[in-house]
Amino acid sequence: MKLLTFDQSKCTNCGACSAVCSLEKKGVVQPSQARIHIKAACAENGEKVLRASVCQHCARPVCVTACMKGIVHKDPETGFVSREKEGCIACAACAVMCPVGAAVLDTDANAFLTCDLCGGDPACVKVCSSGALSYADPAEASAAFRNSYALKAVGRGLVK
Amino acid sequence: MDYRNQRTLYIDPKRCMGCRACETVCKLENDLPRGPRFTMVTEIETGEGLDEKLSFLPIPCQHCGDAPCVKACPTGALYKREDGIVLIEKSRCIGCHECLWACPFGVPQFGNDGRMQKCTMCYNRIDEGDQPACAKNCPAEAIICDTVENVSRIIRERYSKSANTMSGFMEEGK
Amino acid sequence: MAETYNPIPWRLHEDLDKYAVEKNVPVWIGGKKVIADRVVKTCCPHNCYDTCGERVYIKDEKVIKIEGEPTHPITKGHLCLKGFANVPKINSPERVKYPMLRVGERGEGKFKRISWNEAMDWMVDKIHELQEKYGRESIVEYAYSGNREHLAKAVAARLWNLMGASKLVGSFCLLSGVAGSVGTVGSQYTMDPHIWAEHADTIFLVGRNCSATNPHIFPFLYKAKERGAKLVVSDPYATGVAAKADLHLRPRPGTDGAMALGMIHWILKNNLEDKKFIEEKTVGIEELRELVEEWTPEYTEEVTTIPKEQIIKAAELFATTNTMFEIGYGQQRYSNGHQVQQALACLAAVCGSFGKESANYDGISGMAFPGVTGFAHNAAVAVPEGAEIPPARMVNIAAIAKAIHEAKEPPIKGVISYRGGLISQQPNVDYTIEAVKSLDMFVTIEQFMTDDTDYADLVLPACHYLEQYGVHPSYWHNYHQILVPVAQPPYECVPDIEIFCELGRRLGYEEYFPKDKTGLDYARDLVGDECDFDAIVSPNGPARHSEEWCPAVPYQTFDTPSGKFEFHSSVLEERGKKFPGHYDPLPRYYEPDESIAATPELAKKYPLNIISQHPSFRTHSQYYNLPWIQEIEGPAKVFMSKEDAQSRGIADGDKVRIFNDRGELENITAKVGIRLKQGVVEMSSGMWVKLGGSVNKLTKLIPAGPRDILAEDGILSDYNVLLDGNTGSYFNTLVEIEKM
Repeated sequence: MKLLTFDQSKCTNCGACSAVCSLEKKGVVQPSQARIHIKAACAENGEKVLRASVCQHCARPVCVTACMKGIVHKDPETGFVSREKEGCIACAACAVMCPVGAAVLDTDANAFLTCDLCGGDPACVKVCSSGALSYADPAEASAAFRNSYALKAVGRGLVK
Repeated sequence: MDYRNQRTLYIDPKRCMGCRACETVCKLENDLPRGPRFTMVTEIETGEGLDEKLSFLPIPCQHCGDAPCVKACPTGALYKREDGIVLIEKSRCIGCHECLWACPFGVPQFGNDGRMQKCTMCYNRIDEGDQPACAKNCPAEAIICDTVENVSRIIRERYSKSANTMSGFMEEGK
Repeated sequence: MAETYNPIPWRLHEDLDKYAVEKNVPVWIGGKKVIADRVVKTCCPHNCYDTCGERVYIKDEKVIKIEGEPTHPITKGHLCLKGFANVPKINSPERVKYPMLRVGERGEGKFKRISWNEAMDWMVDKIHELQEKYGRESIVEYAYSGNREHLAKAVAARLWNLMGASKLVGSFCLLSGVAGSVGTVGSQYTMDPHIWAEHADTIFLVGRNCSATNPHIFPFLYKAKERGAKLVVSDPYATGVAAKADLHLRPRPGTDGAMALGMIHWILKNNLEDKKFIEEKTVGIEELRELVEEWTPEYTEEVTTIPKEQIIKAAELFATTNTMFEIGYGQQRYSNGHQVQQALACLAAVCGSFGKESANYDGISGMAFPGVTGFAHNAAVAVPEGAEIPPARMVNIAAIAKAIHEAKEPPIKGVISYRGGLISQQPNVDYTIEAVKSLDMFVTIEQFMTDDTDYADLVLPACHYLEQYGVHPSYWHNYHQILVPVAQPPYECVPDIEIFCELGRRLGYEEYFPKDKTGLDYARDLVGDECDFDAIVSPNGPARHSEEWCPAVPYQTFDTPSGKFEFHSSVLEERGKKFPGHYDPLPRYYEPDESIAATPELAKKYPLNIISQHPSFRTHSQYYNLPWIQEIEGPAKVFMSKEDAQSRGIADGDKVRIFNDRGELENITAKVGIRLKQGVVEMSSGMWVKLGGSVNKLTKLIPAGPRDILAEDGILSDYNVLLDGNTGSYFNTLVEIEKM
């Protein structure tokens, strides 16, 4: 299935993705309420590492098994991980278990929510000016990363 | 770990000529359907005018010394063997794609079951004293699978003989 | 409901274990060890230089794995990407499994399953009907190089001879070049690459994209380069091998012949020629000198668009260093194709590149045509002893569509096709389809449902080459391995020779097609005692051809009428007196049929010259439908220069339309970059018509010479395969491109 793919070498940590996500979902710019966050961390060697904290629609989602009310589901056909509208008791089990920290407590719904890919036309991808975010399946992302690395390695900076 | 003795899969871009035999010998060896590409040949065009050139670089897995995928994996499914080969224990993989975002080369592949798979450096063949399938088959003899130290020595020997003749470089009149 | 497959009563099932190199061999598949029942040696008979030795692993009569044969001195245990793709190909669920009879209209691709008995009855009835209504010459085979081995054609010829059917002759991929080469040099040979790798100072590759069609040359090229040798490549297209060149010459498509004349001019003018060789081993140098007088570097640059400095640099390199000429076939796929080869051979002679370990000439090996050169005793198989063979006309495959359209007395009404894509590979698809539609009988023996099967009346389930016998000497290196079936054919597939033998029996020729004669028996008849046959049948082999057939360092002598290299070709001159065409004894340059120089008015409408390489992904139209290959190759692409793209508002990745008066292609992905010069675009050949990417929608049927076979509608009564040509001139095609 298609996902939000993230090229950390292009990300400038501008925050536009979080801003537009909250705008799209909640009608106001409130980045803390966005379902995508770019997290920066410092590696042991001092290098900065960026990650997109956003639902990965995992093959074996821990949130599905963690959910105390059983309202998180993975569609066997499409692979899409979704939550039922009603029933969340905000126990935070999914948020705690999610390895990427994708579950966000929505203050209006008083429920933990995750990225739903905007029904197939993700707003964050459209606003990402550096092209770090795209909507593609992992195979396309893999090929794109390989080509991009090769260009840098072999192109020796000659590419315009 | 002593990184000099780590195994690596080195592909010489001077020798690779883009035939892509490595892509299908790898698919056959690993019994892969359409979808996962454990190695993929990239084609890069560089230069202008008479400097124009086509280059090829196959990218399997770098089996990095300090592997970002291993560090990014939340379940510990990815691990590095004593000899440096980076492998995945599939039963532990939850298919969260973190390794893909962490890898600078885009190596992780996701099969039909959504779990990660990738180049294993044909460790099962290496353990028997054989070569990885791609290295053994490359018609241009561009792939060397050996310790970092040995690869370094081989490349130095190979090119010390022909430093000014191998690079596709004409002295004048080009 | 599961499909069942019925045993075919007349099909031979031999003991294939006798070919095993080893039995019960463990082999890795998907990280698990599997025990193969047997391992068998064979070779790949596709139309490529390398003719790789192969080692195939079988379990339960299924091919489970394939590797290169490690003992092969040239292919060294390596295979190309297609080699491994044979495993999913031979095991593909989409293989044609049983005979099928058309139920819809030609082109609809609608069929119903029938039995082999019904299929044979249908063919026999149809053949009798056509023979009665039109005459026995109304039937002709269509066969080419999908599986290029020579045994099946010889066995089929046995049947066509008895039937008095028209004979298919010629080729449409390289015979124009061969004519230019044979006309000057005589019999053709190749020198094994490990010799020139050790001794040559310069290697000149023309029209040869080794990374796609000759990957096994690279260890030898790199060995030479490590010794300090220089690599010069001539190709309008920036290919994988051109990327390794010290000098990449990019002629305007179709002008390699002019380039060669320009180089000869410079060499002679500056007294750089090999005087000793010219004096002792050639005739006609003065005429050549006169011919190249006008080919100054400036004029050559004007015609070829190669900067004159490069022409001079290359010419001096070839003349003053020991140069190995490895000539391909790309440069002769223009209507002037034989002139190109003639000029290149003359260039090699002027440089003395014949007969030396360090400097020799390699156009093609005579082993490419073993029936012509005599290694294969075609008559021993094709002419049944004691039979009355009625005389029959010849139909040249390079003009087959014209022959079908135009032939009279009798017209061509029945075609039995195997090992070749008539509709996808012949130029001018629409013209070819019209020809096929006019047939009363079109039978295809195919592995998959292709462009051709769509138009067939009867589709018969073909065997993969791994399931058949074959005699296929390489036309580049000099090592030979007999093809043997590694596994029993699946479903109701039948080897080609067994189809022809059974058809022959049913047509009344039982005495000439004994039921128990195997492919191995026929192969022995074909090869005779030209070599130690058993030494090249699995588990043995490969073995080098004898010195007599393939001298280690060829061209010490020339078997031309003068016994020397002929700058003025006496045989071409003689031939030209008898037949229509372009039999110039000298390599005088002339423009290809369609080009910006030859047809400037047409070029105003269609200014782009489209060339179509043979990519590594496929061998012509085969492998195109396999999922691995589709994934690796990606969608149909046209490569174009930045200038041409910019002036048309086309960006890299845009979908474009390519068109000319003959046809159009839509939704082709534009790849904008450095691979072509302005005015030239490239799209791979072999993509299927029905999948939307066939460049032959645009190409013209204008076979290269020397002989003008179109003037004779492709119907010949006298034909010399080594001197008459022809080659399909795919590359002199003008088009325009626009964004969709």
